[in-house]
Amino acid sequence: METDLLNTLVTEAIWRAEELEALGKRPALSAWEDVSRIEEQLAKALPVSEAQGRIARRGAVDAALKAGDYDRAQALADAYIAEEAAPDSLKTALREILEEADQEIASRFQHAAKHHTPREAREFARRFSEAGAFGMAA
Amino acid sequence: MSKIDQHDHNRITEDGAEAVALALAHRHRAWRIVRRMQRRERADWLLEDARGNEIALEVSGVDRGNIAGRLSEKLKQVAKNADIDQRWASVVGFEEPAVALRSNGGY
Repeated sequence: METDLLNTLVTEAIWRAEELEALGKRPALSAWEDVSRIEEQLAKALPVSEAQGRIARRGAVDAALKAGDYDRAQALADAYIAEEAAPDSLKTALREILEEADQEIASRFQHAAKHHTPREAREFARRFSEAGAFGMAA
Repeated sequence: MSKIDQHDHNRITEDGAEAVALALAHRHRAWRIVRRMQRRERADWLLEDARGNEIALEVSGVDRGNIAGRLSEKLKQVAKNADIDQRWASVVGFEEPAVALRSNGGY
């Protein structure tokens, strides 16, 4: 898909997600997921050496977090940080985006955060999910 | 005013400001819209000039009062965008119609 078309789509998707946020976080979740998917397509189409490529990479991770999809945000950030040509400024920005999300969760669940970091909690959840009900009992 | 009414009121001001600012940027600078950006980028719009140079533009609307204070605030905000060399802010005032379009650097 051409970047001009993707830019038009991401513009519309961001506007829609921002509008839906006025109705509360939940109605906007799927809209932010759309934003993240389109930003990911832009990130594939644009090299990390270009400003637009870096904007798309940060945008894909940020929107995935706004959609509540932490696993996807982490996976995208890992992939973008691993890119050979990724500048340090982008790597730092991506780590900051994830850390901000962790801090937000830790502040919402203060008692749980005393025992486990949000990243550990997500790792437990992932393992339980993969193991299924019988794995949880084992 | 309810939360949603307040949102609508703010949104009308912001949408009106964006329409005026983007029309002004195209008419007087021949800039073309590339895309809208997410809040983290510290600018609302990514534009490009006739030579393909990228411009980050932050837009704001002021329903009442003058635009000077808001313009200064928005220029500081857009200056935090690290990726784009040309960083601009535009503020549209509706009480006494006025619009400013200014760069935070030497452009």
